[in-house]
Amino acid sequence: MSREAGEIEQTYHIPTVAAAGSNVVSFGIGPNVAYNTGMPIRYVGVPFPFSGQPRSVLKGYIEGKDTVSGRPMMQAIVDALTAPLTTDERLSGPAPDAPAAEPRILVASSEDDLQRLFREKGWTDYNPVILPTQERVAAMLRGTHHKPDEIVKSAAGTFGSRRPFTVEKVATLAVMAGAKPEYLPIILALASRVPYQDSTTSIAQMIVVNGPIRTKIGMNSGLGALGPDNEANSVIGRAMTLIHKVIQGYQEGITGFASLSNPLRYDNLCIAENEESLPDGWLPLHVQMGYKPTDSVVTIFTGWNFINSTGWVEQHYAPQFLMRDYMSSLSGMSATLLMDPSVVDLLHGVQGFQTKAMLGDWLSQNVEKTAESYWGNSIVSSMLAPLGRQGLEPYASWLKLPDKAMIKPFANARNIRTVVVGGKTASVWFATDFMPDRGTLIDAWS
Amino acid sequence: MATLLRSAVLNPEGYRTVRPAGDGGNGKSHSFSSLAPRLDSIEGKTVYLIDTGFGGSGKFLDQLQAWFAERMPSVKTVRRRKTGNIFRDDTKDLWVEVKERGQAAILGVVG
Repeated sequence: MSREAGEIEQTYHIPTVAAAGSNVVSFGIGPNVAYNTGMPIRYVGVPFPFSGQPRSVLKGYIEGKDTVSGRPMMQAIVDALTAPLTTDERLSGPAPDAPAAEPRILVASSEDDLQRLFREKGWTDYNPVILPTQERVAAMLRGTHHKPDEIVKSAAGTFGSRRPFTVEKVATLAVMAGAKPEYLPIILALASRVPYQDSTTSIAQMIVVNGPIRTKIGMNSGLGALGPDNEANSVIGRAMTLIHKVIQGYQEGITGFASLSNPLRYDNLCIAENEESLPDGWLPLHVQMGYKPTDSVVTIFTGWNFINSTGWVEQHYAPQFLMRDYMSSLSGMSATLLMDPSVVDLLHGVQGFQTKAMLGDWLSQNVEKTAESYWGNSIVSSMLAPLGRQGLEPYASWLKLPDKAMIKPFANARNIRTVVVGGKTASVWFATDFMPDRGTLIDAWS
Repeated sequence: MATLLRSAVLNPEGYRTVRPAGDGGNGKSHSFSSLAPRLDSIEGKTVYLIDTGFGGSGKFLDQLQAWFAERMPSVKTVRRRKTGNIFRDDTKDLWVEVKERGQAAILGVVG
């Protein structure tokens, strides 16, 4: 919204005011000006929540106060379109020089002071962090051949604000999370993928590691892999949380307003795929994505839902049937099944699914939900309905269906993925709606 | 009793540079461009109410449009929905229309 409002103002010369929640406003008048545009946009602040609210509530917001200025909302809107530009708003021409770099070393007299500072700054998940002393960071940097001052990425911050950060910054966060130097290439690969998606909804990320590095650094892809029982899984996942908070600048209530947030954000469901358990024909995730089996790859998934199979597979009800049932409650945009190797044995050996893709095809044809339920999901309606209105199928046809008509929301079977993980003590699985990025080569950061 | 530090501690947020110019450290120059001149008044003007597609934005703009109709009836409001994805800067055609037929725009609502 900030960029589009800016474009309307600066390219088309149309006076504009953007109405937004506090998260967008705080970004728009803060980091977006500081790191992106240098030019403030005129905002009015609309109270939360506004999604799904009745008209009476929204009318109350319009008759109430602008959360930015505290003045009546409509007066603030009219003023935003009519009040003369300030000196800052009239600036044009070359941008001023960047200010000096922020201090590299923190000034404090004791560890207690620093731990307090880290908490106050929000540089922590509020579990204790390892203080990143110069010696510890130097030792961490031995985990990569990249130079400490190399820029990992520039476009980093929440909602796309730009803050260049270096390999040393990522190593600093790796120390704080408790990482070993051999974890650093994965953590750098994760950092190279910021920004991670945020939302006022309960969005979360999942990390899946494939390839030789899994065993080299001792990641757990077997018994208890999703639990807090493995150092590498736990610490790498935590490092991503710190990258999100410190590098991306996500501060709840300041740059982010996730109403419930998501407990997966403590360690981002960091797992490795149990490639050794895969039967013939079932390819590891990274090979399905086009990487070589010998590549080490980290894939970041983003999603909301995480449905537990609860118990083991019953003999009279094949696993794909219960997966179908549970998946009908997902949005339909994407699905990733996390399944124990014992479930794979049943699907492959008993049910005849010779590949992951065959299972995806079957689910694509058999998961159904009503059009009403499909479009009743706000993420689906906001992301996919515009495509349907532009004529893109199948959304264009689905928009025309009566409410109770049944659709196959996973019409594209490629949107259904499987990651095999677990210790073979129970035939259990999770159905999630997590969707992957394109994967990142870890070896490039070693 | 506080534990004394024996080693310097690095600042995790001490970015190499912070550039209000907005070039993100990529070395390219960046220029500011002024906001659009403001209107003397919106009375009698055409104001575009642009729905971003975010949940609740359409209903919010409904109420905004009703307010103008009741309290500032000389203002002509035109409702449009952003033509592209709500999370992408992919709308251009609409801005051309607003430029040709309107005098001001209100974007809403995202959060």
